[in-house]
Amino acid sequence: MSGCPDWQERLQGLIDGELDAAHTAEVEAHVAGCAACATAHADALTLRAALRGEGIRAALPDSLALRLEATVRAAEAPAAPTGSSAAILRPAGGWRRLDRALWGFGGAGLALAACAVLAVAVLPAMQTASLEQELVAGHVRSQLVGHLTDVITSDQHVVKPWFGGKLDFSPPVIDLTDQGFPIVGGRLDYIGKRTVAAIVYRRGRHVINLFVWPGRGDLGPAEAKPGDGYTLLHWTRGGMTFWAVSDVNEKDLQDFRRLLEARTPA
Amino acid sequence: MATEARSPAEERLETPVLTPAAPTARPGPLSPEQTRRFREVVLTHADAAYNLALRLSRRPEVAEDIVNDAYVRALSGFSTYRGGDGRSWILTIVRNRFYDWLREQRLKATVPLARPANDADDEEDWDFPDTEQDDPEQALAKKSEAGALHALIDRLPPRLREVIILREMEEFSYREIAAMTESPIGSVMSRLARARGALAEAWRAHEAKLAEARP
Repeated sequence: MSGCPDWQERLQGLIDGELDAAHTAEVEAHVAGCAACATAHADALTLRAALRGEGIRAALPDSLALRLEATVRAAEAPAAPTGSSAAILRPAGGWRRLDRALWGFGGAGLALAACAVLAVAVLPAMQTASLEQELVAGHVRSQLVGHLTDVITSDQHVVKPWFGGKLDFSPPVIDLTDQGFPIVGGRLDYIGKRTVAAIVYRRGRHVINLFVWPGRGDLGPAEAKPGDGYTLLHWTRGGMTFWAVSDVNEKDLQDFRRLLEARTPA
Repeated sequence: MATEARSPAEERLETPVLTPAAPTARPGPLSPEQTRRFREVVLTHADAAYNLALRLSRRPEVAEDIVNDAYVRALSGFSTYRGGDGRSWILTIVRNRFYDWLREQRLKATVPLARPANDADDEEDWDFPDTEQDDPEQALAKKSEAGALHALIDRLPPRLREVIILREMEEFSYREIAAMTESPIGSVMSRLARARGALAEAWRAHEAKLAEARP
């Protein structure tokens, strides 16, 4: 403990701005004339700056983000089979061991861990296609931690330049507000070991994440891949690969794709 | 003075009764509207929940279990939600889950757990041994500044860890911290004083060690 014992608690009150004007003046006067309390005061402010600095707050692990999403979904959907929802709510030691084992392989492990969780909890119909899992994970994550967008705007002319300084390509940002798909904003995401553009649209209360990166990829024809609650669509145009991920119905997402394709420069 | 202080959040949000083992605890079912509200009001604070759970438990895999458990409980209590601060609500549940976990470890333990000698409170201050710090000085010297700060916080007793996190990282007021930790405001202040004193002292010692090690 540092500082005068008699002034300890009032000193905290000063540091934390919890004193009224009269007490603030009183403690300040004491600190001005007491070297020990002045040091304690300065130390506390240094500590505060350090604790609010970068890298101190732990980031939410993807594995936990996916698990929480599954937990919330299980609470919403009472129709889910009892067996699997129980497994989601209180994962047995086996699941955690599997998660941990997979984590050991780094990035690939993460994608696989996402598969493991999603395959059971969210997307039983989906086969193990790691890119698709990554895309769904990106979509889920964006909604989970209040990190939907890095730049919030309904204006395509703001979103596009925002990407300009952050990516080595320029994704087409198409306004579809007149078609009932307003832009919410843009975000950077990390898919398939590269930084990609995520342009966020809304359809009613649903969010659509449109992931864009250069290249045609090795993709077959555009097709809907409905999972349990999510639909994925992909296409290429103008040398860019597009993936749309959302929980809107498939017809709306197909409309979305058709409208975007029509307005994207070839 | 403010022994009975309860945050407005707590008055409206009933913290679910917490028991160490509740394998049958099942949330919901919630309506789609309630689920939407839950995401907005509670789920958005998952990062803060994990940060608190990690700093309290000091074990990433335990922290994940604690946070998931806390959300299961929050979901099952959410039908009573009438407004209020979702962040203090979920963090209160996370904190309670951590002490449940600690109690379980204490019951399971075959050797007595460390009781910090510097803590005069007559409350539960048992802590789980911090295995990462078998060789604290050497391990500390190798860490980044953020890592070293984490390690120093991790050495504090749990009651001091929690006030530092709630005050300095989450920026809650004394009144809110008092409600969340079920303590009088005076105890919150004296714990903050002790935590800050201990951290400043440890930080100075750490810096001196680093200066010594430099040629």
